[in-house]
Amino acid sequence: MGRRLVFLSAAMLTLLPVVAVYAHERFIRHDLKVPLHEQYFARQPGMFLGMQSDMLRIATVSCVLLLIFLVIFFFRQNLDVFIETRLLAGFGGRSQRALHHLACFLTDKPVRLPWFKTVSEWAVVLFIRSPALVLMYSATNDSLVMPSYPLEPTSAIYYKYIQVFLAILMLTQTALPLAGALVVGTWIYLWRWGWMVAADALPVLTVAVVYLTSPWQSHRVAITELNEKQVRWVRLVLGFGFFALGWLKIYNYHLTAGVADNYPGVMDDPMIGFFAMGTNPLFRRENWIVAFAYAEVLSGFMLMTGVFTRVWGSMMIWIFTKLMLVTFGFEEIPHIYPIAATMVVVFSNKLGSEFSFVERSQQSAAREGRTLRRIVTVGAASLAIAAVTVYALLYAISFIDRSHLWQGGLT
Amino acid sequence: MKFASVKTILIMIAVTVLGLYALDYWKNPQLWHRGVAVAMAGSEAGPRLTLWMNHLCCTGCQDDVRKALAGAAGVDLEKATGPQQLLTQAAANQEGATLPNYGNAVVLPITDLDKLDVVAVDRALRDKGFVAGRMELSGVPHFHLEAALDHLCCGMCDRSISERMDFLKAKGQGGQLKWIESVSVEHEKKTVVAYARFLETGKTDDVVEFLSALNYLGFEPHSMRIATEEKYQHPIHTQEAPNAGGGQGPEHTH
Repeated sequence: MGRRLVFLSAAMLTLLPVVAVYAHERFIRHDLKVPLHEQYFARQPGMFLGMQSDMLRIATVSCVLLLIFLVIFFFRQNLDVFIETRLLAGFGGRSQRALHHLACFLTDKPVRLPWFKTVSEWAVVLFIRSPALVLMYSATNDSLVMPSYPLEPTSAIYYKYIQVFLAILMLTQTALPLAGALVVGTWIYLWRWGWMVAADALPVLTVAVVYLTSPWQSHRVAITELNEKQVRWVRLVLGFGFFALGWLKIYNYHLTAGVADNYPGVMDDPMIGFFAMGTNPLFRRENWIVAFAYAEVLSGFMLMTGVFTRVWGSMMIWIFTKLMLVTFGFEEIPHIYPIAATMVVVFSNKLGSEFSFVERSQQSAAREGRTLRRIVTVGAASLAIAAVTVYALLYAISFIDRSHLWQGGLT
Repeated sequence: MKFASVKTILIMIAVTVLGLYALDYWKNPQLWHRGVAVAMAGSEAGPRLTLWMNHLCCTGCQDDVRKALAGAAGVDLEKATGPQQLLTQAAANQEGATLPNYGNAVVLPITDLDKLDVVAVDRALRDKGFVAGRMELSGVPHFHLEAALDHLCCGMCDRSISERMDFLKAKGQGGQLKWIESVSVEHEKKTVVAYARFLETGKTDDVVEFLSALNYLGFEPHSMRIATEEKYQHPIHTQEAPNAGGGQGPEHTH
């Protein structure tokens, strides 16, 4: 894995910095073609919070969106009762059952449908084995874990065999705790190339959680279901991975812009357009970077904390599939893995939330008939969570001069 | 069912990390000792040009490189040192022959800086089927590179170099072009001058970076010379006359 330096020397020759960094951007071309407005991401004296107004506007849209989702989520039990007793009362038979299942799906409650359980089992099987496909793909492309970490020719063969060995463990479901340790160990090794590389590879730890908590005789059992703790850790690690990657998009904005320069189609996403509504078109690329980042930050945060997990998870599956099949094509094929991981969460009937204490407090107040306390509890908690999530890191990052960051960001 | 204990998991992870680092250290020593190698190369007296070839594995390669450089002016090929750890051509032909790295370096003592043309050295190597991945200059504390172009027709040409060179420097997080203090475009002479920062003893500057940067901007210099004489670094004092007629005078960028 002196692989990065091979890449570095190639970039030195061409001065087209084609190195690596970040989730799906890692697999595809991301050389910046046109300079950005660097001042957009720098401290701006005299502006509110010292940040560019369009950036703050996008952050505020994200904050309001998160706030709305949190409030609805904390009242989901009451909404459920309302839907079941009022809205669905008029329907009968099939329609009522279908809408009931839909409501359960949207509010992260168990969905008791045979096909749902079948898909859930299949998703677990795919999730446990899909990293092997990614490893084999990387090995055949002379890279480690991800195709964008090229291997040094002098040691490539060893790392390729190690990857194949690990892939065999995964495919045959053999000694999964060992496979988990190898995955975590490899991830720690990636720190050799910088914290951003390790942060970029965070999602690979998701499957390690399942491997490490599997029995040694894993090849003898059919693992088609994860227990509550496993699902929680998969959700936490996967969600945190995307949450962190979202912030990295703003931190190393050159790379994110480089993707848009090579694939202008990604800038026409309606969801990202929603985040960037009302911003100055002069800073179209810069606004897109921040909006794209916030879309990922919110998705990751919701997934991590278990707030409308299925809604956000489904959107992520849709986006990843679209990127893999339509926008970027075959180079994004390793995204089978995050799709499988997200599917495991979306189709699990053992979902929980890290903010369930707010819900419990709200319901306790409801039983005591304290309406104002319910509203204040939910409102204050939602506002605090949304504000801290959206503004705190953005404000902190704005103090760091990132204009010198290379698009690879690997050093 | 037997599950792995926390202690076992931690041990397995530790062994994996140590194993990967050990493998890296064992098989890629060149990555771990780059700084030392550069310092050693640079500590020798006198100006030197170190050519790092990404492929230079056996005496056959070495012979061809020497033939390619035979006509190079300004360097003493007889006193050239390196490459290290070279296999004979016969040994390299044997199945299973191996080296820690396919690449290697040739260190050329510079006898006459005025005669040395970096582009000529680069072309001579390319004509023989080689490419120098890096050309590291050492032992010259103060210098500037003068790249002579055939094409530099208008003010847009000038500005595209001076403005975009800043952009390339900003993108060079890996350290590329950081050694360049400023770049000046001399329109009348069709020359781009890169002023280097003070080059400390034992350090090197890779002049290929500047050559590649010009290529990236769309220009192919026909020569690139290393000059040490004092030259104005702030052409704002001298640009009045040529620049008056449409902004085609010397452009300067920091």
